[in-house]
Amino acid sequence: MKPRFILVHTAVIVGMLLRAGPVPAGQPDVNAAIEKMPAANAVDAQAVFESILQGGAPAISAVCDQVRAPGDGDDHKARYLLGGLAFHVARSGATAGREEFSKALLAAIQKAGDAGIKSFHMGLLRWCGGAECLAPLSALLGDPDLTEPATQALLAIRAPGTAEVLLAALKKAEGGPAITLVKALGELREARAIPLVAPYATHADAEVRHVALQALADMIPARRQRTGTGSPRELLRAACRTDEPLERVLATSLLLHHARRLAEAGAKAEGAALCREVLAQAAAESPEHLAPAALHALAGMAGDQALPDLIAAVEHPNRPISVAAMRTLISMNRPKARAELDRILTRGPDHLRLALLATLDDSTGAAHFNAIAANLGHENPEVRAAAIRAMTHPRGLPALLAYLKSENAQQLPDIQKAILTIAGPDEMSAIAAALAGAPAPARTLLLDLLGQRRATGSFNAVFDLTADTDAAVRLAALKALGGVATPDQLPKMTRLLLKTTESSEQTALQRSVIHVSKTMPDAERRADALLAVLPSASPEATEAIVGSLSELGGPAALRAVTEAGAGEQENVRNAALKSLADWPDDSAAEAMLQASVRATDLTQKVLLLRGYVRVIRAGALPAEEKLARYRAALPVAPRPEDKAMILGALVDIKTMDALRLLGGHLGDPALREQIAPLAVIVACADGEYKGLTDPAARPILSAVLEIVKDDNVRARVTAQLAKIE
Amino acid sequence: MKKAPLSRRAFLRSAAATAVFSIVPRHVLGGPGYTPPSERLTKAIIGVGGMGLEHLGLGDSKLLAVCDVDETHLKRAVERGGPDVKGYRDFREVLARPDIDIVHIPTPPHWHALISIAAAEAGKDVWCEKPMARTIGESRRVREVMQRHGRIFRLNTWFRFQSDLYGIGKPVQPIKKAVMNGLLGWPLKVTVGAHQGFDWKLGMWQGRPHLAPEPVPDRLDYDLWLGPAPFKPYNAHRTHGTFRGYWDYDGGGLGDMGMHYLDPVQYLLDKDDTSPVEMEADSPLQHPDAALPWRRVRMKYADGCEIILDGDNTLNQAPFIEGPEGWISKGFASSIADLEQKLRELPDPPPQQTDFEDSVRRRKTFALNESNGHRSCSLVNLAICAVRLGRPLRYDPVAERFVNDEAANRLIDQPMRAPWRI
Repeated sequence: MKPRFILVHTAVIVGMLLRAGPVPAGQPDVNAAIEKMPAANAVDAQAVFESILQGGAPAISAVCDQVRAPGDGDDHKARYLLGGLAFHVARSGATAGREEFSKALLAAIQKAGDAGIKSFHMGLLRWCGGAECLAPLSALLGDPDLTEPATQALLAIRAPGTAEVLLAALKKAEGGPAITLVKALGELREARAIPLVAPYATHADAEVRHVALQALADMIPARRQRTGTGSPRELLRAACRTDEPLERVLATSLLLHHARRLAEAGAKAEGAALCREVLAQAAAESPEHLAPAALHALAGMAGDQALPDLIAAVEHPNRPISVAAMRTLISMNRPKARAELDRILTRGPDHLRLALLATLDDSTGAAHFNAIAANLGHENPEVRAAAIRAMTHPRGLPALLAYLKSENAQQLPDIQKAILTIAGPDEMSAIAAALAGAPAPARTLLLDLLGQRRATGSFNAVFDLTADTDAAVRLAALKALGGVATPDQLPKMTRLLLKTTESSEQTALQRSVIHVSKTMPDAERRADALLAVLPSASPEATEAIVGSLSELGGPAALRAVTEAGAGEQENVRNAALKSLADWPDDSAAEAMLQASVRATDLTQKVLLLRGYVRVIRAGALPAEEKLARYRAALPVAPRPEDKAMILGALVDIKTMDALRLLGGHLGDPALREQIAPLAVIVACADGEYKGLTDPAARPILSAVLEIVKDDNVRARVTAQLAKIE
Repeated sequence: MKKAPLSRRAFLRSAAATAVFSIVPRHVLGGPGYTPPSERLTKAIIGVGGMGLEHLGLGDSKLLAVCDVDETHLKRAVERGGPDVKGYRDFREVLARPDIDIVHIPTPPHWHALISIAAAEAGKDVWCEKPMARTIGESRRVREVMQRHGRIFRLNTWFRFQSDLYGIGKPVQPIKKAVMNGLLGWPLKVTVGAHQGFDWKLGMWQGRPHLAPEPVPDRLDYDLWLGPAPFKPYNAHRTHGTFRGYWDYDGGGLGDMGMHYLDPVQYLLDKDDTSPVEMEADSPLQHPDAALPWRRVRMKYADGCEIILDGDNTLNQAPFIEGPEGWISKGFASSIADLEQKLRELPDPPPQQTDFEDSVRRRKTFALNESNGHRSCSLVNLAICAVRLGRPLRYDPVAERFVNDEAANRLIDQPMRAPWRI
């Protein structure tokens, strides 16, 4: 903490204590209460609040007295307390405490000399003030520095009589305070203010004009004063005729707002007439974007009588107007509106159908299901696609499946997406049944759906299609088997695998077999189905099978791969060695190392070594055992980078033996630059790891220091050396 | 209705024009994926401080205008925007431009509702930063005006339709699938905190309870920066980069991360058209000006679903989402065996409209819009009310008012400083 801050802080506290003086008998210790701020929780806070409230007005005033003018010292604890009290006293059922607190704030406002302090207290009254605030706050409305916070507090409180005090203040106000009051009277919808506000509607300043027009839009005078010069309607209409584009737009929007207020006041016909006026204006000229708002308001006021306007607007070439009319018709949910929407869907032009289908897709198309479904047969593919998207609810499935069977079914991705949204286990039998009689592209899609959804009850239907005359269907069926088959169906699948000769089909079926095998709970038996057919497999199939056994693992599969890796047939051997290098666990480590020793091809040798290090690192062997395995692999490494790769695994083993093994290679010019950072990781502290402090580490780290150049790394090494006795 | 002559923008948006383009493939017009310049939407960005600069790169629309009350921000954005971009200090001048289709609003949140509404009234579509608004009353008003004017509105958070959901490590869709198909049972409890992979950043976004007045920098129009907020003497900590720490402008960590974290939760619980009925916070006493850390917020819906916000990161055993039948937690860990396999068999969540420019062109509601955005922003603001008031609250999600708590209701609708009003 800075000395100057401490001095100021102390001075403030001392000053507060001196001002507060001794605590009178029966009164709470206000300074002690303030010092408890901020309370750690609601219970502690309430205890402090209650102690202050028990002290009544004197205690509250004492807290208020400690609020300082901005820049006049740190009073944040007093503000904490007052802020908390304002919410506390405003809770339900705390009327007496609320009023006492509010009155104390009002007294503090009167007492304070600084506008910043007064504003703070008025800000609190926004939360807790009541009718008692009306007169004291109204007295502040004439002070240009306080009009705004006082008005905001009055607006928040909204006690009876608020409009009257604001009206009285507006009569005397000018400049900024007058604008504040005009705005407030608008929010209160105070029609008596119209004559006072009207002159501001033609003020030279655009911002002032807008505030006045906003206020006037909210004010509904008595019926006979609603038209004619000086009425809000006429002033708003006049503003709508300005040449300034944004002002014209905003004024027109406010005229609509006025129409809504008229309707709320019971004058629906007048409101509707204004809406039509705006609508006509919007359709004929700018601002056309207000037409949606006019339609929305008109529908609310005129009901069925707005239908002709809405139907006409649907045909409007401006898309926002057209779509807004459609949305309004949908939201009206009346028979005539629904009939009109169905008419568009069945007899309307394409662009309207498209827009409406997209809009129904947003909400719900259920009410227009038949009309939407009729568009599945439409000649325009965009309309068909939009209809498909609008049918993503359970009732849509039969129609979509029926459509799939028609010869002109297109938009298959859209249909698939829609069905995936609809279909769960209960719908799979319907999807499988649709396979019969569907054109080839549709069958392909349905097979994919069954596979994706793991429709195990559809295995036979899918398996039958693996012999389909259409190649795409056959391939889709073979792929789908991976989803729909269960492990007990693997023998049937592997027998088929032996008979399959076409390359892509063989690959697809093999993937499916592997996929199903992986669902077997006994991990060691997962390769059984493939191993069972291996003796009778063709060389091509054998190559594919041994190449995929690493995905399944298990001891029997490992034996098969190891044997094949030492076999005569080159393709099978290569596939087996690659499979071995990809083995998922360290059960294959020794086989990998031996195969690497035997391998003559550099790529194979390196891949096997990498596989070896990978499975050892991921395995559960003790650290010293892992170290021994890495040490054993080093002589097999054909190149320096392969040695570095093996030694890189030592970063997991932070022992002196690991460091010694690394240290043994620091003298190798081909390895030293790569090994030194590894030694730093093994030996030096990092986070919670304390590093190695065995004296035997010193010469190795000293040698590392000769090699590394990065200052941060060197600092770590030096720090570690300092820890070694 | 009399048909109006079509302006450039009206032509671009006209249904007839769409029909033409649907017949002539886009690649014929200008190559695959090519948007002819005359067809390209245009945008302005209002508020080009830290987050505002990010908006320069959002979407495919052409930037024409930037606006800021800080000259330094404005100058930098104009330079980055390029030769076609004009700078403005007052957003109303931007809204007056008829050639701008979309307005991005990455200002501090106390301006979001006001500018969104003004933009809608001026015929613009809106891409607004989160949180949607600073109070429930403000976001409700944005919803009304957007729908009334038929404008397209999107919020700048996206976890209900794309990206991995923070610590869950997967998009929200698989969880939605599990929820909507009943795998977890009902009702559900969602816990959102560091142990579930969601950092509330409460330390980062806290205000200072004591701020000494400072001279307003010449480059900054502080009065316009404050706008509808109550006047308080300038201190740099109130403004750029740290404004989130003050209730007048935002809501601390809840304001920053709340919609990112809670909008997907609302989507998961299928609560896009309602709000919780009970809320309660465990917090130190909050300062009337500065937003400070809190420990816990609990919100409960009428059907028993709960959302727990863990602010002090102590709920280390709670899953992200749990029901009577199972749970899913950080890293998509789950008590349900073979969850991913089971999910494959179940219907997908309904597709969402996630291309904003397409929404604007086709007038199709965006995935996160003024309606569900208002409800998820309400979650944030209900939590803020609970934290500020320090007592249990009851809420009527239909009337959108607190039950029997006048002070809480005064937090819903707060007066704005003149001349600003919505």
